[in-house]
Amino acid sequence: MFFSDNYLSAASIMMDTILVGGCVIAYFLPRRFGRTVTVLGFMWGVFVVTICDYTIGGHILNFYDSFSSPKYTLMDLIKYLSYAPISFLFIYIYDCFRIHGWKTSAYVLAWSILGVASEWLAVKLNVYEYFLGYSLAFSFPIYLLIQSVSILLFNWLRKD
Amino acid sequence: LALMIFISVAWATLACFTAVPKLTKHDNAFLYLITILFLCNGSWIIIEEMQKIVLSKELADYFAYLVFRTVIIPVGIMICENLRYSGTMKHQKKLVYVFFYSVLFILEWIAVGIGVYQYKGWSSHYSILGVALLHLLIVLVWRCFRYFTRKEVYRDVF
Repeated sequence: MFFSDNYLSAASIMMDTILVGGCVIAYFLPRRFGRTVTVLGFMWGVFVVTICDYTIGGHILNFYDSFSSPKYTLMDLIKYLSYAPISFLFIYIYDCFRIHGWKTSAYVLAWSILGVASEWLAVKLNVYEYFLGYSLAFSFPIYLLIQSVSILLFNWLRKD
Repeated sequence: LALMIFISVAWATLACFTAVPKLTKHDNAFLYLITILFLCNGSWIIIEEMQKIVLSKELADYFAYLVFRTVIIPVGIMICENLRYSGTMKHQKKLVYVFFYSVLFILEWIAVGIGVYQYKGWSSHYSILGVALLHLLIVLVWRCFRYFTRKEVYRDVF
């Protein structure tokens, strides 16, 4: 059922905190981008997690489930939305510190380590459950790839 | 066979996209992202929650389904909208829609015929109707996006 989650579980609270906290931080940050790039920056995170969930997290390649159930619930939607401020903050910090050259690789590496650490916490709190031999180590190259693509996409969108 | 057919159609779709007159890259990026978001969630509800469509257990067939969902349908919708907002003549625009939905119908028919998925109380007509409704929703959301972003341009100018 769509509303069958336990909204007071540690997993739900973690997702709610990321969503609300991320949006509050993004709201109070000084404006750097136009509305177009801002909207696309928020959408990118939701897009990435949606694609991953419905490609390697479901159907026959079911490497993981969220919230201990393959069912589509409200918490799944909140989880997707919680990635929106994260992708925005990723490009915001990248732009804010004018990162370029080898520092870009270091930046992507740092965020990938942060991503794996937060996923480890999410697994501990039962946000994610792995199947078919999948483990946290596999996520690291996925983070590297996705964040590198994010940087390329952001630079392409910003260029007029 | 399914994977070969769908990859070929995906390649043709992308080739068409490179040939059509373009909206801005921001509009195209928005269209692609929003289409994928709606399409993935919608197809999951129909396949896994309602169980009206049963996907094949073969990996190659599954990849064919992914190519259909992730490339052919979104890029097809983008081609339609790029042409609609370009200076192309009115009857040509209508033809593009007819062509796109005809191709979708044929691909649905092929997908079921070669076992990429099977229907359970579902039909190709429902799938096409679903994509058409999704298309409508995407255009509405995209118009909101254009209004929201263009407003900023006007505010900055005046």
